[in-house]
Amino acid sequence: MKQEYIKLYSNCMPVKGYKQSFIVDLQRGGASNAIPNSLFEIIDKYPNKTLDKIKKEYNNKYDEIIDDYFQFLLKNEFAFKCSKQELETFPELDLTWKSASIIENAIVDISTLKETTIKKIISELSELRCNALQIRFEKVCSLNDLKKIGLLLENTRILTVEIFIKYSEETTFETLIYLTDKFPRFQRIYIYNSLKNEMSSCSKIIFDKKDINPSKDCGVISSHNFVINIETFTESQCFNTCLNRKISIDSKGYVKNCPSMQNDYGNISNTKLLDIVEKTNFKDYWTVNKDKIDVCQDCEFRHICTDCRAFIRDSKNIYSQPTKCDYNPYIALWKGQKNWISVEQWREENPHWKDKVNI
Amino acid sequence: MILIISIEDDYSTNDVVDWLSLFNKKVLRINNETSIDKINIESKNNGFSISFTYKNNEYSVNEFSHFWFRKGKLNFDNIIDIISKNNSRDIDKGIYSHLLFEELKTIEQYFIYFLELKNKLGSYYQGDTNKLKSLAIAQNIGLTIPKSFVFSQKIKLIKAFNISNEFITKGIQGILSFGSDNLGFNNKTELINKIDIDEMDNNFFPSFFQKNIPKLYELRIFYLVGEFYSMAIFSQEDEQTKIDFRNYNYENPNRTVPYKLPLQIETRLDLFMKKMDLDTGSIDMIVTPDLEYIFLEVNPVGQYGMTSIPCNYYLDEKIAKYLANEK
Repeated sequence: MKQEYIKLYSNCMPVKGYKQSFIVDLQRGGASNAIPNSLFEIIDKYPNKTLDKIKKEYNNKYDEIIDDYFQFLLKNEFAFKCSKQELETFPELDLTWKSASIIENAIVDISTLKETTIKKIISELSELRCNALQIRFEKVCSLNDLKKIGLLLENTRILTVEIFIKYSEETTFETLIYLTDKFPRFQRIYIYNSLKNEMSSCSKIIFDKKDINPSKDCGVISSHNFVINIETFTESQCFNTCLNRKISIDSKGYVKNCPSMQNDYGNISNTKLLDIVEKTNFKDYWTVNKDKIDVCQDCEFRHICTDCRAFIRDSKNIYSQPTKCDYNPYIALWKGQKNWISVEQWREENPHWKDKVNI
Repeated sequence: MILIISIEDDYSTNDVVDWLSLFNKKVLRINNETSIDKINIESKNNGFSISFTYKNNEYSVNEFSHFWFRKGKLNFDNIIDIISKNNSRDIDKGIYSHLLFEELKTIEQYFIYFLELKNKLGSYYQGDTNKLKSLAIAQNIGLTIPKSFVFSQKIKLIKAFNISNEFITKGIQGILSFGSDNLGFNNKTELINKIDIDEMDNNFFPSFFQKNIPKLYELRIFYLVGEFYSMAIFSQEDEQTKIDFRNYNYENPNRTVPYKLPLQIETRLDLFMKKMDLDTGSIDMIVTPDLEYIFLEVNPVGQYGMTSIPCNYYLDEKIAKYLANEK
């Protein structure tokens, strides 16, 4: 068979940004797959043409560049050679995202453990088919309390649990390993304000000297937080990658989209979580996807990046850019890199920037 | 209500149960790890009826409209225990449990027969499909198979080797992995060369050989009652995975992408599955550099997650829809 076609593997998804494009490799990851927008255009316009025909489309003016481009795609295994007959056997990846869970993950802040409250929360989350739960104790918490929680979680739908507790004399490696062995749902216990930094060999137990405040430390956007996989990529097509199917309950019982956000939708003491999710505006943020968010919509990283709606540039505009993002997609530079300027400054210097947006 | 037989650690079952719960369907999941406590069969005027107790609840088999055999098998440990405990007489333990086991086997067979009369998916007694039988059936309905042999004599192997001088060998049965003495063993495919054959004894345990087929890529095809969900595995770019892609390269995994089989191959595979009496399973095929499709084997209870996730097929949802009649 004559292999005259070069086809992108369907799990390598080129995403176009203002200044450059990025090949999201859903299978192998990699945060350095930037490509020029001109290559994006070629791939996008002529997915099923031979190299010779593509070159002709450009009147054979750019033959060398086009050869280089495709060599790059083949060398990095973003693409493969195939025959005409094979083309139709490789369909596009379906980018639909769906979930059988009403809530997928939850964050619960606790000041003093009230057994009736946590029992209600756990059983309702389980009914919503919540898979992951993070419980954050604002104060010291007794081992007995952790045991109670472990027992309540047994036979529920909640399969992975992460716990933040403040250091006390009771919280030693031995006692905590005993707990993670006894309750396999405890996937991670994080002890802040510890005497030293230490991690168990199973990496389930982490002692940290820092006295953290997770709700303020949240929302940082950097290339370290990129998530390159099919789940995030598909979810981000239509949904917010942080808040979709997330719920949080603060230490006073108020139910929110996330602990760092101000707005609440009711209190766990007198409402069912399902009613809050289904009968209020609770889901509004879920569909604020990156394609609707200012600046993000022009960014080549928009489908691998986390989002944050708690810390945004303009609190009156739910579509404004996350404050804690240091990337400028209009010049493709991170803060700290040479020649970086802020998005605001760049837009001021380029008042007609919108005319060029073609994403 | 939908009855599922599975094992505790099977995430695919968890996910299907989630979808069924979204569709408001009631489910009873019987895991291999937990024993059934009591079982009663009654002949009535309008036929037999079966009831059983599982985790302290009693169920009548009539309550179930659908039955999915995912994997594992029924566990009757508690029933055997009760009888052993109540028996103080000094009878040879081996004879005793053997007789009980055989008695229970007949009950189990009838129980499964009864369940499989319902809308069912999966086949309890096809858990280890016979590889030789499936190759013969595949060839019979017009699928291409690799030249295959089971030999126990070196002289026969040498003769065959002269015709098609590259062989692979693998287990005849379908077991993929097992444990013994705290060690795990995986069943893999190995290439055989002339030196290997020279070193062999004149007579050996009956072993399975196949002509080695040049691959363009491999296909893993999930079949669900007439529907095909296929994936291509580009195992040939990597020496480590060339003969058996299960020698996974975790650092640079083989490319796995959605694949659409030609209609003619789908039609044949559909016929093959029907002849095998399988309504679901994972089929392995090879596409050769000449774009020939070669059938290798079928696994009725494979991990379809390895196809579903990379191809974004949502097979859990599709199985749940089938079980919930929402297709």
